[in-house]
Amino acid sequence: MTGIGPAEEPWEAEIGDLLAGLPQVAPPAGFIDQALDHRPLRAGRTMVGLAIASVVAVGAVLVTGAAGRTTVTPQIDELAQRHTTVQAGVLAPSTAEVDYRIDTPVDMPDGFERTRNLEAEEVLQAVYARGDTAVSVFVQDGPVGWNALAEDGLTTIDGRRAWVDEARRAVVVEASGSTVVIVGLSSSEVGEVLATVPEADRTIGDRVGELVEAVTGQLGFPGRS
Amino acid sequence: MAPAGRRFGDDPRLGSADQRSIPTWEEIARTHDRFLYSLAYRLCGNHQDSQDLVQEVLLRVRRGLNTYQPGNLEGWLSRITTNTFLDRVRKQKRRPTVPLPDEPDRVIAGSPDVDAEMAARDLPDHLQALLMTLQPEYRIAVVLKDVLSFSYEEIAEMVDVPIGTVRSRIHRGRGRLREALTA
Repeated sequence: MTGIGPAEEPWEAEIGDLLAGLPQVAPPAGFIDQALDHRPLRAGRTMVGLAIASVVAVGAVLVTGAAGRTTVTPQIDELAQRHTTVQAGVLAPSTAEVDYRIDTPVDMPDGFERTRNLEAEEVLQAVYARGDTAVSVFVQDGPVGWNALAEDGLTTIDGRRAWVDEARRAVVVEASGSTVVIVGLSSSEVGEVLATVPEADRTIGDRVGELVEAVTGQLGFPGRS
Repeated sequence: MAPAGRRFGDDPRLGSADQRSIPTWEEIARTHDRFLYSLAYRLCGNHQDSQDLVQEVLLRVRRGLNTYQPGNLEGWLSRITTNTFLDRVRKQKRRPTVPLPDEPDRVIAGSPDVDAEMAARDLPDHLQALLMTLQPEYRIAVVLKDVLSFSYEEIAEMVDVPIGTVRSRIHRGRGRLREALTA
């Protein structure tokens, strides 16, 4: 004891002993593996039953249906891994800074700036960051293969069909015939981006809807129908 | 008082913290998973926020590993965790807390019958709930000192405040807990 600050009193030892007796708390089974594999998300990986041809691309499963319409089933785990990898500064060999057909804005509302603009196998990834918070916006040609996503994540957000993962770390929407996936490392990151949307005290669904509007609007997509 | 040197996560696979070279990100995550998660849980009070916090911490660990100087690995991890936690608190401002008044330290009279309280309640959950009523800065100080057994000096270095402030925060945090336990 150095005498700097209040000296410990006898009763403090009792409180200290109680706290020292608190047990360790183990992480849920598989949590660390998930964190190490950058797989924070739950994803729908089921192929559409009507598919007659499919191509597995980075971050998506493309399915051509009987009508010849190719749909995109975003592989959320894969996209989350790409988001984390880019955020950590470890770029996958197949990715490089590119000019894409979509002119992504250099900034988003409330100070989020674009830090990466990548394209790999027809999937655009624009990363927007503010401080330690970052989200990736993935865009790929083709409508969303809704049927292949986990059913309990399907929702309607502000009149737009959407899919939100259980942990609210990813949002899938469709805009102008393209599949748009917004991914954060954690729900707080997505939540922080959501909080930049005006009237942030509204419900999470409303906020997601407004974020979708902001993102798709910034990316040059027309507004929702 | 908590027994000296009581720490989570000591792992012989990594050897002595003072002797080994810098571990990899994966090694740290696997050998200190319980340490990190326990600290996160004691600060956050629920599993969802704890998982988010640990994920964010691991990312910061990965980013900052090249700045780590071999030595007190758990101190370094604790510093990252508490800083990340405070960043989240400041950003989210959603955690209910009961602020302690900035007033001179009070001597709390009476002798708490803590054992009786222990018998009457599910103590770990009750203590955790009480921890969540502390201001985040006090909660951090109390958890680092009493749950993880860091020294005042180590805590002062981790949270970057004078040692007297650390003592004061611990004293007040414990006092608040004692008041709640004996109310």
